[in-house]
Amino acid sequence: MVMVRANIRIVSALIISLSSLVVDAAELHVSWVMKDLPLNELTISQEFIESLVQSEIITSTPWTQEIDSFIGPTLATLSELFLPKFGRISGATVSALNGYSMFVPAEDWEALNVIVASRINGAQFKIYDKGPFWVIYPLDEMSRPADQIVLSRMVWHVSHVEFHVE
Amino acid sequence: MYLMLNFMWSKYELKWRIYVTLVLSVLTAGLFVSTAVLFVQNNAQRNALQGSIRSAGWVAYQAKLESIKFAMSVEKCAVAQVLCNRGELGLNAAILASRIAVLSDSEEGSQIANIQEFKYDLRTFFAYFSALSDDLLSQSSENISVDTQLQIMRSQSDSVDKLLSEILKSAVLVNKDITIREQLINNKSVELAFLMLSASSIGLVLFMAFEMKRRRRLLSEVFEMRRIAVEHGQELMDLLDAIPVAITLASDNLTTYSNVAFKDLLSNFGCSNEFLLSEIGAALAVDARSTSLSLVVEGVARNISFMSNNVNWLGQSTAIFAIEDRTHAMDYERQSLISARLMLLGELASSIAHELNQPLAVIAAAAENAIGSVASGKLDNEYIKKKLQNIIRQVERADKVTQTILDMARQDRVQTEPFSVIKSLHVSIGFVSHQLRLANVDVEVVIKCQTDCIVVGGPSVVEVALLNILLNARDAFDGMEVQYQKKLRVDLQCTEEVVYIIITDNAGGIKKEILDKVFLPFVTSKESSGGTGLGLAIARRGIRSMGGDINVQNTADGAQFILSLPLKRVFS
Amino acid sequence: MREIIICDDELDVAVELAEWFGRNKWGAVAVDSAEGVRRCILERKKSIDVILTDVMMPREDGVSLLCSISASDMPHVFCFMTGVYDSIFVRVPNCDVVFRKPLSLMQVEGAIKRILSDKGV
Repeated sequence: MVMVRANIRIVSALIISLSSLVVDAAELHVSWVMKDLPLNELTISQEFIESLVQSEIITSTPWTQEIDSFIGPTLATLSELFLPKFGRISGATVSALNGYSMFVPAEDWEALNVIVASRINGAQFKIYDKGPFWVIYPLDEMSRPADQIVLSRMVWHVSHVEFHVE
Repeated sequence: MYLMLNFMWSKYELKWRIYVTLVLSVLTAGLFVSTAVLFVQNNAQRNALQGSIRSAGWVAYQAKLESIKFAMSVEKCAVAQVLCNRGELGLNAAILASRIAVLSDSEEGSQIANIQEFKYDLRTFFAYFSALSDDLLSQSSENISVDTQLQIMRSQSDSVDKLLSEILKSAVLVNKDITIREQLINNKSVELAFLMLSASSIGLVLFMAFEMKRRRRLLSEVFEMRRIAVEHGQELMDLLDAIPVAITLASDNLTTYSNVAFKDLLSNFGCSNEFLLSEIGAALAVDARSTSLSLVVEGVARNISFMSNNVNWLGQSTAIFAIEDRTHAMDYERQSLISARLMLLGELASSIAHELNQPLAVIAAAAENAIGSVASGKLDNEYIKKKLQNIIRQVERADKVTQTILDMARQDRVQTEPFSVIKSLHVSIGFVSHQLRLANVDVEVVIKCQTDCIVVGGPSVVEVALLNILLNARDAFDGMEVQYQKKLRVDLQCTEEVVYIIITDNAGGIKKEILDKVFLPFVTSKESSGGTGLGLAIARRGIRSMGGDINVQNTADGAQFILSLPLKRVFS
Repeated sequence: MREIIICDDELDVAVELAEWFGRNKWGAVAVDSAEGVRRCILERKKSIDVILTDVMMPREDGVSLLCSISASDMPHVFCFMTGVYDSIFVRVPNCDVVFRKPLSLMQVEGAIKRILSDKGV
């Protein structure tokens, strides 16, 4: 059942990726929507991202060999690039270059300071190294074990972050 | 009953305490161990379930997907230049490379059963595709023609696709983690732990039930014993009520219980129990050993004898009094004594008559002689004087006799005057000497004392005692042949502190059956001649009241009475 | 002169009696035992008219004395005197009279004289 659903997702992702413009690997698309109504959108560069307040998470992950240092702005910082007049941000849909996307609830980055990492151990991410951006949770510090949901929210190849306002 | 119960319980309890502690410890330990084992198993299973769910198959599948996407990008470029997007190709190559990296160097990837076999190839492909993506995505690669590289790209894409298919197959088929999980799930030790847990729990429950049942039984036994104790208590009360002796219990000067006999006694006397107990208390305060007392209630004299003791009654220290109304008994005793004395006097009537008659006869004769002398005309003053003096002597003699009789009759009063025992001895012997002479008894009196042997008490007591003994001896000689040499010897000896009067006869002795009972009241060998059996009893009682004693023993041919009295110290 | 032997273990009584009888012209002897009476009878040789004796005496009482006297020595009158009057003595044969103490000497003498005259002595 999982496999069938996965197939459908893969096909749709393919179509999207094939028809989409190639995004500059070092750019991040950030948007704010309220119930599908777009409020604002930004395309920000790596430099801009690095100019924001940076947070560091030192953790191991299931996909890396050692304990690495991840540096990037928190999702909270990103969300604050635009402050809607009313309502609050309930979460963000993080999409990847290969069409994978996942909803990250605001409680996660409010409680855990989830970051959108742009550097690993000081060096910029290569795309083949899960770059250009990777949503990082502080797995080592988390009291609850890294379950499937958390791991699925650690999206790499991040290309688009869409904040949902309610 | 209470103490017995306590003792039994503690002995019982000790054995059971050990047993209970042992069983409870074992069951509780079992529970803990099984719970711990289950917890550990559960934890391990949870970890296992958590870890492996990340499923290596998915990682392989994703890598396969990216390889397809790359292959399609390559085909697009192969079909038409215009469709060839360098950026897209580079991106796909980069993503594929990253998927290959995940497959070969991540935790998920390592879950695949035989991933080690593919690691080298995977790393090779990672190097190619990462370099390719760098080339394609960098600005300087714009001039490079993809045409020449297309063939290489195509072949690499095919190869990586094949490799990924293989990996995918083995990932789907064999998942190391699933195996572990299944092993864990099938772990029999979990069953064992469950068994132990169940056994411990059931054991505890059964044990508790059993213990409860046992304790309930013991409790009912305790209640039963208590009920019996109460019943016994009630029976005891009924018993006390049935006893004809007046019994009362008092605690802290308050009467807690009186039996029926006591209540009757109080109503008889017409006084309250507080009055009676306070009288007893007063008597005990004067002499802690006193057992009798006289009291006057509403003008009537009463005599009671009592005994008291301290007991533990219903957990409280209580005084118990047993009281007997001896008023009538004492009257009877007194009357018996009086009548005994009267009978004694009666016995002596002939002696008294004789003793008085003698002096009277002499007085009469002497007076007549004196008158005769005067009547004859031959006045002889000396003769008359002699007669008159004789008369006076005889009057004195008669007076002594009456005095002795009166003294004997007056024995009720306790006398405490010092007097000479020797004198009393002479009086007694004088009283019976005639009778003894008549009975042909040789009387020998031997006095071995230098002093007068002064004792303190009542002279008549000693005289009566001696009289009784002497008369008994005389009676003992009754029925003996005339020729028999009847002998009665009276010895008087004294030490520094004691005077002994020893009266020995040869009248055959006292019968063995009554020898040790002669001093008991109503014991007599003279039943046919009307002996009261009180004489010696009275004698001993009197002598004992003076601090002395009378004892008897048989000699070879008769009886020997030994009368002893403490001498009064006379300061010389 | 009539002879009388007076016997009483209480010698005072016998002496007073003897004095009285002596004053009244009797030949009177006072003794204090039955043995004395017998000795007297032997010594006197001539017959005794009266024997007056006490009954209760140590060693030998008056009755036994009476029984032991032979017919030849028996006086004309044999009397008892006693402080303890007991009717049994009245029935003793050969006993003429029993006097009760305390005695009236005159009456005793009178009674004895009467018995003697009754017997024609």
